[in-house]
Amino acid sequence: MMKKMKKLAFSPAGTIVMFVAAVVLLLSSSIGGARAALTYQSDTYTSQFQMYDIGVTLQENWKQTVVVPGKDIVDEEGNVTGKEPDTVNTKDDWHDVSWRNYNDNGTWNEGTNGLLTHMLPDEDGDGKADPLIIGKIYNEEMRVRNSGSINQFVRVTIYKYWMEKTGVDKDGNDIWTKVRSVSEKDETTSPDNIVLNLLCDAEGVNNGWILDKASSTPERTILYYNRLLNVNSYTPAFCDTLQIDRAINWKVTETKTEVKDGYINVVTTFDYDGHKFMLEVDVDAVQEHNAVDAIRSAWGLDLQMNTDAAGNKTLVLPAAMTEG
Amino acid sequence: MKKSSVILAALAMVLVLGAGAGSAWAYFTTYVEAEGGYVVNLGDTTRIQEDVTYLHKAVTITSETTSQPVWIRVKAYYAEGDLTIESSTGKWSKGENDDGWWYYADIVKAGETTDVLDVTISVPKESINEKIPVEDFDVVVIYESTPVEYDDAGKPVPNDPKLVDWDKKMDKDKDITDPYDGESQIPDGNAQEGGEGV
Repeated sequence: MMKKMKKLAFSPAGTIVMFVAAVVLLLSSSIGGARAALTYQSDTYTSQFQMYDIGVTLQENWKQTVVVPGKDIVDEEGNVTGKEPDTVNTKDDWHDVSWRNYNDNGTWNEGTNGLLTHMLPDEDGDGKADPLIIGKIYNEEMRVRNSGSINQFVRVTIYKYWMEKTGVDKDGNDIWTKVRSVSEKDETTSPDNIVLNLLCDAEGVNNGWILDKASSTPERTILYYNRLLNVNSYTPAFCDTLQIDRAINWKVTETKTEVKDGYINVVTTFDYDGHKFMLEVDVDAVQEHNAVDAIRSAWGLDLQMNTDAAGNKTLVLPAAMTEG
Repeated sequence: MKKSSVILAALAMVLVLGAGAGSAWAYFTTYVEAEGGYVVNLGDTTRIQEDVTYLHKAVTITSETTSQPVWIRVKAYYAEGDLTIESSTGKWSKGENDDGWWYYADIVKAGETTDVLDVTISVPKESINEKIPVEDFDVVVIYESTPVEYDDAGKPVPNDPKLVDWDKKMDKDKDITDPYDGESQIPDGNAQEGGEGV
């Protein structure tokens, strides 16, 4: 038996069988890659493409408001007769929120400072952030910066959802669990009540940001920046304000239980009380060179690239994506 | 080994190595993630404090530390005679349409307490039958609170408790009944009520 196997292995037929097996294995590996490209966002591409010189940073504007008191109004006799209205000035103050940049030594420089950390102002001047006011429109500008050393194209995925406290861990920290989404037929807490004002349009003509309507849901929003993001430059803001809809003030659930002899105990609970609203922003970046192929590989999308006479490159999304 | 076999084997090796080289030629990509959020505290828990001295009640209302900011109004009843209701700080004032309510001018935030509202039985002392204990005079004080609503700029709207819609209904999109399936036994209005007599 062993002799036969040995003879077969060193025969031309055996070599051909081995060759065919190698080709089959090779094809199988490429099928796996194609399947990965078909998924909306592959978890694997982020780890397997470890190349240098690329980097991206999400930035948030901790816009500062400065109130300049109005001057006294003085009449001809020098008497103060009134006061001019105060002037409210705002000053941009962009900060890095989250970054991931490749180092030459094969490692990534990455980190995050957390999102929305400076959304609540300290208008009463007590040194602490004011409580969240339901219904108030807060400043929440975000943009993307190219923090690598090669040009890139970027997209942003925004998730809005509610979390509820479901327990306490052994260290005494609260355990928060994501509330089921609308797609799972739970209408108690809707992401629609987290109102993030987007700055985009169907073709990116205003600021370059395009809404992918086809892939967006009440919980997830996808935006593509259709222009090339050069090294050390940043996109225009893709959102500017955040508001929690004041309608949640009045959303309640009543629970009625019969206590005794027809007496009813009615407990009214606020649907959103104690819940935490969450905003999550993911930024994906791909290289400029062979961008169409790179996007197809990394994002699983077939996009077109236009180049004008001046050499400016623009991504073109299919109408099926932007018209939803 | 025949020459053709060697060539085929070498070709297979090249193909396999080529497959490995594919990952090295992959595209430059990167990503970042960030998240954040805040807890929403809704609803309010308030309690009334009534300090009684003879024919006088000093009424205050306190909002618990987890409460939303609220507007508060108070009404007092005395079946046997008239009442005198006053506010030494001027923060309490009567409703404009003589609705019987006294409205507290300031928003009561979490942990805050209203100024005192003085409620006094305005019966002449000499007309009181001394055989009846003072405790039997039944003055009932009730109060209501309702959440403050804010406009887009974060300013209270309306910024006057007398203009607030005190009859605004809750949005009961879910109504869990177990086992009772009758009508709700609580008022449709959103306001909390409380109070006690002496």
